[in-house]
Amino acid sequence: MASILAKLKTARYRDLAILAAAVLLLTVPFIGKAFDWDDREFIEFAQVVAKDPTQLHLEDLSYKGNYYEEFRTSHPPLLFYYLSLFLRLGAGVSEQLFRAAYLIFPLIAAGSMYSLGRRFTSYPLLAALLLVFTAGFMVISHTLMGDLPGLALWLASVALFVRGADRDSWRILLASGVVIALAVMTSYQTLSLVPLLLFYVLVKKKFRLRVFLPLAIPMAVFGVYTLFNYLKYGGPPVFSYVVGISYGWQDLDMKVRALLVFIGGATIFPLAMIPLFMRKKVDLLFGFLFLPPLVTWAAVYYLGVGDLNVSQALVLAVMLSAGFLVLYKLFANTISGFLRRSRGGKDWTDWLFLLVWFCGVLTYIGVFLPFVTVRFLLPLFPPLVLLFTREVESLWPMRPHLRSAFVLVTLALTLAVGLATAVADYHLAGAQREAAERFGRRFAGSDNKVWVLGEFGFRYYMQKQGFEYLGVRSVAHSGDIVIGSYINAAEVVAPLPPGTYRVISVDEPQDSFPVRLMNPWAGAGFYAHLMGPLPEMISREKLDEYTVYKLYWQEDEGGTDGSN
Amino acid sequence: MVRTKAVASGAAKVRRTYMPVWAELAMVLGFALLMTLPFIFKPVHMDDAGFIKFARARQVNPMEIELRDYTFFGQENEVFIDTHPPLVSSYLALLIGMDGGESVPFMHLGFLLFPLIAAASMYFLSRFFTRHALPAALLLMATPGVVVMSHGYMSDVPGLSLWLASIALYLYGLKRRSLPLMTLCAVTITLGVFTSYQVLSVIPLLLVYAFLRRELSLLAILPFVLPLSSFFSYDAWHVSAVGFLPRFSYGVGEPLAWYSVVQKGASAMLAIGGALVFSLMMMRVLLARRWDFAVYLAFLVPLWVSFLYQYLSGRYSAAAALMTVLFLPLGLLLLYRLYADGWEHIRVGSRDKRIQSAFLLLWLSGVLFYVIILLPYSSVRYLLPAYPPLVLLFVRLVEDRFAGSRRRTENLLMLAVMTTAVIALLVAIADYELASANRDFARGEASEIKAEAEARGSQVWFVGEFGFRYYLEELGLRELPKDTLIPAGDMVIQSPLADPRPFSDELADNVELKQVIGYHGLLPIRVTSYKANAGFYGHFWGLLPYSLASGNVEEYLVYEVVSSGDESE
Repeated sequence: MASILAKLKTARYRDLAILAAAVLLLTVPFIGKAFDWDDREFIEFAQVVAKDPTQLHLEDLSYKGNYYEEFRTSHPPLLFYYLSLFLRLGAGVSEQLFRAAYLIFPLIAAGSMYSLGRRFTSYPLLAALLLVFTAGFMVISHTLMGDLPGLALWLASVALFVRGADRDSWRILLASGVVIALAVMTSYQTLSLVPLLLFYVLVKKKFRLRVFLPLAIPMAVFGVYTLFNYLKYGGPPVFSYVVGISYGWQDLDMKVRALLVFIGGATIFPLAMIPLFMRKKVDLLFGFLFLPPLVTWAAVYYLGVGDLNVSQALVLAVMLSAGFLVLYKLFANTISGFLRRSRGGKDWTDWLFLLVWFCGVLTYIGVFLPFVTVRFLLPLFPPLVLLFTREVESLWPMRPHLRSAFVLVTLALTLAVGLATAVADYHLAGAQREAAERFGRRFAGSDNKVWVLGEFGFRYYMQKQGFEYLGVRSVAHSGDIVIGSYINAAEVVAPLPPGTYRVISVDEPQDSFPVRLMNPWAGAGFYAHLMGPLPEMISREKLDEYTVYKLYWQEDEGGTDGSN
Repeated sequence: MVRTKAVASGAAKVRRTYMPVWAELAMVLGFALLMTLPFIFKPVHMDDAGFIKFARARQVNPMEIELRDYTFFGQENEVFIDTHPPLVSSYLALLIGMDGGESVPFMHLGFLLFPLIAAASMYFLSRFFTRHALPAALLLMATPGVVVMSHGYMSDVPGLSLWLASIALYLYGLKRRSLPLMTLCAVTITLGVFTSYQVLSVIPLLLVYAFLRRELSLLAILPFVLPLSSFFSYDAWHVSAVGFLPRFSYGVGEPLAWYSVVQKGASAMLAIGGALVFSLMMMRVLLARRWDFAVYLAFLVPLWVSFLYQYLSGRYSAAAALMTVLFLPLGLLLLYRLYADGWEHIRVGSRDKRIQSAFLLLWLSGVLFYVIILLPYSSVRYLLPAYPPLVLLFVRLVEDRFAGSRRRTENLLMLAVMTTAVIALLVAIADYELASANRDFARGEASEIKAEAEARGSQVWFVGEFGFRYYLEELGLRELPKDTLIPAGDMVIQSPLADPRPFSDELADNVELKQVIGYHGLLPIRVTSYKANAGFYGHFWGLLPYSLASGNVEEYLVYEVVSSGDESE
């Protein structure tokens, strides 16, 4: 088994082939996955820019309880253009085509992670495989949203820049500048690369003009894009439609909890991280000191208020502990590296760079973003994986067989969780498509107008069936039918006002696959922590709850309460 | 397989025969099972009922720490907060959940884990402190205190087992500088603290041990961080959940009053003299020298006088007075001898012996201090954490006193184990009889009384706690709250041992004693009896841990309300 680790150290091309095969094996089977979450927005903007590349808005749009005459995108446009290429070539909107088009991004991410693994660890293949196997990476690589492409270009940018700066190669640095610019046009979060890479220059003391130049390229591109927005729309690009981000204690409390839990739960298998990060006396001391209050603060809190059951709270405690230990270990390694620098400890600046990368992402999610979701966390996966891999290097130096076994078990368990979560995601998305088709058949030829209450994939497929979205400006009539999806409407659109409807039927799709990732009954909120405090959970709860309402006005039917 | 090895003992080399560790450990575990398995059908008894109540509540909400509208000793509580840490009730809840019901043998089987942990831990501790690990571990598991308490669902034996495991892990962990052992120790102390708050005492005790060994390192303090951090987190959660810190007792009586301290002290000495090692064996060891007899007589003579007076005044039966006079001086003498010898070791012994003696005496003193001074009453079960140091010091005393003859030492120790085990089994059977009486009465006469009362349109109430309450509630009866008037025709069943409280003034005039139903036991031994002055579970029943008496195990009183006061409940 020791030879496995030795092989993981060498044979770059073979490694890359293995990595590519792994990525394709974990993505190609999912290309038929139904569209869900913000995929719809990317498709609609792709359709718009396919007709007019300068139009970065949708007209007359009701969305998440608001009406927009001109709904400007809150995403950079590169992916819209990329998708629109296929439409301009005559292809129609298709799950298989669009998802296949996106396969390039996990491949770029895996290759770039491999390069970073070579730079920061002795086991680049392990680092890259760990990243690819994480639940966060795997699930988000099956979507059309900008997060995974953003991560891929982020990683490529860092890999190129670090390589270019270390080797003082202007060609590589120039390439990195171009890739950073592409990244910025894919996801605004990647703007953080500029200060992060400047920090790298600072700690590595590479103060040369050619090192700073690549960072000017993305700034220039972003400047041009901003100017375009001013000229066309009279203002800067829209970064978010969420207003009123609360900085109150309760929201902060919830966010910090969710951040730690999601870090521990959607990355490397948490039960592998806990023993690895707690194997020294001082680590145990910190763990023993801080984990009980943390677990009390989170798991016991949720259990006490009845939001989670015991098994869910136990899972949350494990994930939370792992999340905390990741943060602690990054700090601890940086500090201990700093303290040992006079005794030949050279790598403390690497630790500092990884720490700043990790904490930078954590800070902007905590401060600027409205809620916690695994996809926002993707940019902090690489430093976490590098931390884990570096820790593995020093694990049981006298027992390489044991270390190899630990690595293999960790890879297997991380893959198992990732795959299970991806399958659960596939089933959830599919359930929406199937529900829309079912309702399409049920209300085909009906005299009653049918409205859709809910967003995301549900809205997409319901509209495809010819149903109309019930927005704030919609004019509904007594007798109309409204179909709502709990998962696609909770915390997003306002419920129907009481006294205006009767519930005709409630459809609860079941799924025998025992994992849920966006399910309030299982406590899982992979795409938004408001749905549940866990990223994924073992559960056989119903997938969703589709409610069919019939609208009535009191003067028509004389009812008093429409809740039954 | 039997091996022999030459070991140095004093100046001479003695050939010592011993079994491999695994064989000795298997013997200790087997013995622990032998002393517990026959009792798995013992009915719910004493505070078992309280733990089951909270276990039921935790089936609904795993974090439940309060019972709503709960009457306890007649006191109506809108909210009744658990005074025990949550682990034992949660473990019971798990067992109930696994079994799908409150099966007494299944729950007992689940609790066998704890005597097994205690036995194994004591064995390793004995290897650390004595040359006779096997008899020392067997002796602990044979004591009446450990045997009787191993037959219940209360937290005392679980607490003791985790206490012992923590100390064993710490001592070996520190000696070997082993991080895994110290980590396991941290987990064990934490589990112990959430089983019984008394286990918190392990932390200062072990800290002193590390200090005495001059090994106060990061490794040495590591095992204390997790339990303390967990305990304070639990406190914080408790405050957030119910508004105040956990309560450690119901706060009955005046624990610090002089008369209370004297009673608790006497009860503790009686328990040490009577419910530790078989008295005659203890006497054989303690009265080996002339000076021992002088000290013994110094304790004995005033006690003879005192208890002759108690007997003549009718406060004590002849048997109880005789047993008190037997046990009390033995308890005092044992402590005197252990402290005197311990001090000698500390003064002139080798470094190891000095540290070990100081550690064991500190352990013993700490437990005696909080039992005699701090706790509201004395009980054999509260004294359990003092049993291991008492047994270890006793074995060391035997080793010292009979150092010239290895065979004699071994024989004496094995004889002590056997005789102590016989006494312990007799006491355990007596306790079993009392527990059975409650169950049998509830399922027999009480059930008939209920049927008759219901046929008349009346209700049956009960006065009493513990197992009596458990089985009467199983029957569907309710506890009569204090100061409650009930209608004429209603019946009240009281178990004086389970709660001797009189009726309220208003009700006392309206009730008539209709029947006294006595339950007789096979053995003339009593563990809980006012008449026999036996208070194994609390000194308010009697100072002795067990006593001799030939009367009923319990006499249930059946009252009828003959005329009604106000018709309110």
